[in-house]
Amino acid sequence: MAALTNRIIKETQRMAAEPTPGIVARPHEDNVRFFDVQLSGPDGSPYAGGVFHVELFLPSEYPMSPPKVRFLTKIYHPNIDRLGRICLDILKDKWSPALGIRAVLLSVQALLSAPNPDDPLPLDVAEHWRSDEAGAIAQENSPPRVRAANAAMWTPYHDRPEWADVTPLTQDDGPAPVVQIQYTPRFQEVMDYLRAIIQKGEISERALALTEDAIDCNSANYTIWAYRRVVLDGLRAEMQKELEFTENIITDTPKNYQVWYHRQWVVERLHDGSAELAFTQRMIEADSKNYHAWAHRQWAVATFGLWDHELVALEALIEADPRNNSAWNQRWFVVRSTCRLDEPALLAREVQYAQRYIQQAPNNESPWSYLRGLFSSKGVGSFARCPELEAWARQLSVRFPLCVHAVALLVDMAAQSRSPAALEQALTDCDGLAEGLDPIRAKYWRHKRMALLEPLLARALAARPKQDSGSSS
Amino acid sequence: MEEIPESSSTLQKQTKLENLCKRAILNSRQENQGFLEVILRKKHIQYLLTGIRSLPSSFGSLDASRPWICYWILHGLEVLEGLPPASDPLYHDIVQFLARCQHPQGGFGGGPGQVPHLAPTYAAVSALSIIGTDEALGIIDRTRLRDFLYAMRTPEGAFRMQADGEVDVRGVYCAIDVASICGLMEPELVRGTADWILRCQTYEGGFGGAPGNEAHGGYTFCGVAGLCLLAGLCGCDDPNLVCGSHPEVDPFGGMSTLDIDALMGWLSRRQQTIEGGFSGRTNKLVDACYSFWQGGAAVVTTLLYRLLMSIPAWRDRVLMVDVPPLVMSAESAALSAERVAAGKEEARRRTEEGAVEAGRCQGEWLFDQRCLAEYIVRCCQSATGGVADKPEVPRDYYHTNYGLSGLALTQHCSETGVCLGRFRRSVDQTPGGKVNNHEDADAESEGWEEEEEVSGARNPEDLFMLHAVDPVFGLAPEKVDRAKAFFKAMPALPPRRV
Repeated sequence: MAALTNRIIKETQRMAAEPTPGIVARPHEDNVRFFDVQLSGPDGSPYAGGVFHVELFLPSEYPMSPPKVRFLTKIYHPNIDRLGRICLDILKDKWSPALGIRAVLLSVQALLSAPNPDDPLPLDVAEHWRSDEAGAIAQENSPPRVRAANAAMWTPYHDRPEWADVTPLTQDDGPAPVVQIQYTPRFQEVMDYLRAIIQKGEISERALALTEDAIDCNSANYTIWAYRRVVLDGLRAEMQKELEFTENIITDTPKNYQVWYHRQWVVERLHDGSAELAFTQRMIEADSKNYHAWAHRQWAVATFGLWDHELVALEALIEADPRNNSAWNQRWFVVRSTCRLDEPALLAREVQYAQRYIQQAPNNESPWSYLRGLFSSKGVGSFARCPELEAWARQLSVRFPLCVHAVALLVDMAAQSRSPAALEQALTDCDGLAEGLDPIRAKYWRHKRMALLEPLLARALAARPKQDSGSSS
Repeated sequence: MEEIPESSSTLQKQTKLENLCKRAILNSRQENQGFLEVILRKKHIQYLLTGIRSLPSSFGSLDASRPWICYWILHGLEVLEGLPPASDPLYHDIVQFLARCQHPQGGFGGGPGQVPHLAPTYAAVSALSIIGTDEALGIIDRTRLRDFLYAMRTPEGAFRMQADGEVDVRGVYCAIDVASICGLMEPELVRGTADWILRCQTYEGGFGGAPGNEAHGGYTFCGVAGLCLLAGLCGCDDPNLVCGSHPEVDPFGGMSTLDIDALMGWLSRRQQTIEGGFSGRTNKLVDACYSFWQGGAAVVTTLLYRLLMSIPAWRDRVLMVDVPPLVMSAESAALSAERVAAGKEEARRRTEEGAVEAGRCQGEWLFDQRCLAEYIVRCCQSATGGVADKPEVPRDYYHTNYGLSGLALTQHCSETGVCLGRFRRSVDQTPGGKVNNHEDADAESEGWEEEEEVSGARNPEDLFMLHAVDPVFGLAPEKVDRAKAFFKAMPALPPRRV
């Protein structure tokens, strides 16, 4: 949305007119605030000869706030983490609007010449660097890390004698292609060799290595993963190693269906889910709401009966961020799978757990959703199971007069009351929500009024004489 | 209003994004004199067309999703009424490409030579339906497609995405969507499917990807649209095909365990108070793609609700005749007049600060159609065309398609096909004259000049109108009808060899 400023246009033009050695920066076709950058490793540095793909983004506050810069090529460097994030002062607190895109890229390039292990991002790399610089540099150049990551240091398959017997098979895009991706030479060659191997049905160590290369090109290609499973089975490969491989890929592409499914397949082959709790814990630390990580955790917990410590682990996560709804959902899953919700003590425990977090932050929807769920058709089905709840909700609603969730809960309770007075109050509350407290959901509150509360009130009024006679008997 | 100050990381991200949206909304309102109809139609069309032939190497990660790119671009153009003329050779070329993605054993892969997968199968059938010619629809090998769908079916009635792949509600939706279009719906294919979908509904009311998983907008769409197809609302012309697992004992077409009240509550709570757009899950950030996933689910849920309420026994269930009554105290008066007034004041203050002004749209769907439209138009349109997930994030084809599809939902209703609410520019207030006020006309205001060119002889009001979208299929309604009619006219398939 944000308009392109003259400053950005001028900087872009200047970079094109006066190129800097070792730095190529092109604005993205889709978004001129996005730059594709190729950084050459500085001579004399461990990265000499390498070309590193970097992305640079100018936020709308630029130049008042710094560009966002990230390495796309994997790199082993004490100030750059696995996700390519860079620890560099001018990208943070030392930013000045007097700097520009070129100055930033020069600084990043300089960081490759002079790594700073005292201001590290990945602690293990920095430690390695501090204690053994030569070893760290050697690791940086060791396969498979670099082979898989850095196109510049990668030997093409057609130059590898062990692949001389394979004729690559190109993709048939037809005479007039559409949505044709301009593959990098490496992407194209890896896929051409993979197609040839799949067509031959070759089951071999080199086929396995090739799928790894192909997965590095595009970890979302499900055909590669399916073939990799065929090869792994054919080779009776060691699954423990494969488990580690999936963790590397998941760390790099944590929202990828294929690799999560693959991990499940590997764990099934191992008949051992004991590593999955710690593993998903790591993934959840990186992204506390990663859907795949939570789904995988549910699967592992249920398949291998890992229920024992799950509630304790979840309580820590909810305590750290009470708005982590994924953790609340997992609590529901554990409680519903292992406990009887219709035991009064257990229901009370769950109600109190939600109430505690509601009182801390009454606008946090997650505990409200949990509380409502306890009495929904998926829970005990009726508010009559917890008569104290009404007074609590009313008291909370008085204390936090703008809290929509409290009023909403009282409306839901009134719907179950069959009391004309309560229903009439709920009608008024729906109007109040629609007109004042929660206008964005006005149509929902009107719907609730017309489709639910009014018919209920009509029934309650019609039933009243009968009810009176019933209560006297 | 929070009692205890929070340092929750979720809250920090949420607050930051709210502020960004407020700023975008205020700026856009100011620049456009409060009007909403700033759809950069020509730029969106240009942007979509740039990708249809060739894509940069950064699309390597979508190399197994190329039929999706075809669908996003074609449907985005359809919504914008910007599809190239029927004579354009492009259509033939797309058909030829998708034919290469079709697997000899049935179904479509993500690219030529890839194994078949339900997601690209859905995308390919949708793209071919948009093209809609006999040539396009004729390439679908129905016999083999039926084999593929049966091969993906699990014993309990769910579907896996590929022969050796995950089972989730996406698979179910893709399978029954394709079966509905291609005339392959039969009880045997979907036995148990409605029950399986219903097991995905969570305590929150929305649906997760598989039983137990968290309620999520994309999966909720798949679940609700899937139920709708199974209920015979959109897919089956045969009344015997209300496809619950045991219709003989379940008067609700297999839907007796659907908690539609919780579903409606959850869907409406996904619309963000400040931003106006939808989030995918509770306490997650707004994202333009959920304009269609959640918005579409809300539309479909409304249709489903109407259908179910026509069944007397269902009405009794909704009115909780079986639930024991709750004794409420006499003092349960919750909302005083002062509190309603305080709420109004709070809403007014929010609007002044930039939040979308809620509660003005009279449209028929369950969400605030005006607020959603404001989020898409003011916060997510890229000045150079395309729609982004949220402010300050680059556009892409996926969000462009689903953002515009969601915007189309806000404009159309079931009765008249059109529901503009009160946010249309009146006829005499054309966008002209605006540019002159901006000496420093940058990319932002260029949109207006562009729109002027486009407008030509057209009624300026038409500029804001997008083409209607069928919320179950994600296609223009007439394209659904055309494709279904095409397959219905084909000779019946020979019985399946088991």
